[in-house]
Amino acid sequence: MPMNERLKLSRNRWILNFGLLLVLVGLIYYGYRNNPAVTLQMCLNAPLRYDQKEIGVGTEAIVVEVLPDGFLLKEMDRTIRVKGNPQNVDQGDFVRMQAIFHKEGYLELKRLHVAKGRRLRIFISILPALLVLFLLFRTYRFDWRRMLFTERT
Amino acid sequence: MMPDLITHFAAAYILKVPSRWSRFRVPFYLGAILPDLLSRPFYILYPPATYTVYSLHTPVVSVIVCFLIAQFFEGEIRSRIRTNFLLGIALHFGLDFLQKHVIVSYYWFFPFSWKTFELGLFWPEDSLRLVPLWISIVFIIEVTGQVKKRIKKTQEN
Repeated sequence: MPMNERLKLSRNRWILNFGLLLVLVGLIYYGYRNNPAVTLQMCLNAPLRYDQKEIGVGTEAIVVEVLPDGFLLKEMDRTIRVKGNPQNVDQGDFVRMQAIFHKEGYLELKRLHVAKGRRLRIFISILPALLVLFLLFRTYRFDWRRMLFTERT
Repeated sequence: MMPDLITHFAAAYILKVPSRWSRFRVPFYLGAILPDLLSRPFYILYPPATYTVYSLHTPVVSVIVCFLIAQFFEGEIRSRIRTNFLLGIALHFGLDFLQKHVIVSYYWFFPFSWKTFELGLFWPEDSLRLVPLWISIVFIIEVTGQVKKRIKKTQEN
């Protein structure tokens, strides 16, 4: 292929890459700004506004203490009391739940799922990620000059 | 919350066993774990990032990322790389769709709708019980494949 044709193709590729990247960043920003979910952090920051609001809690939320009538939950460095049947909850468990927020600073449990084995799931997920990356670089070679993966022969 | 990556990888591996498809198996595997790779590390290591990165685990955004990654492959193989990436991503979301959650799970139609639904057949952690089975199946297929290759090579010589 002639040099000027190759340069044109390469320039078109970078324009397309830039366009895709722009759309990607735009979508991430749109998602961040417009998500309708009410989070526990929002409730704790404005308790009066979200009083009696049913919310979903589960952003790496961990049980820090089990109580006779519920448990203490920690999410993003903030701790809140959860009132309700603690079921099979243990200290250190990851949980996801639906609960009603009360302005007095506690949650009334509606539905709970204890994510037993979450740590193990995260740990074992590292292995296939490394394996696929290994296979990728074993099958393809990255040409830094052209910024392209080429098939290894 | 989604099945572990061993389950996602094993499903992709088993589907790609037929040898005529094996040339582009790596992008298929990568597609099968890509949505989790794009989002999970961020919010596991830094939970406040959850609402910034969750959109990376949606079909539309995954497809855009797939197109972007495919751009970094040679022109002659780019379309096949892209197709295999896309099929891998479809498999990933197919498995995720089978799960159940107590709170909002996946925004399938992001950015057009915030509706969320799933089949609700199993909890994300349930897939852990089958991990030894997946590893055994992948191991058996891989070893059988290697043995067959060696026999073929010996016969050719």
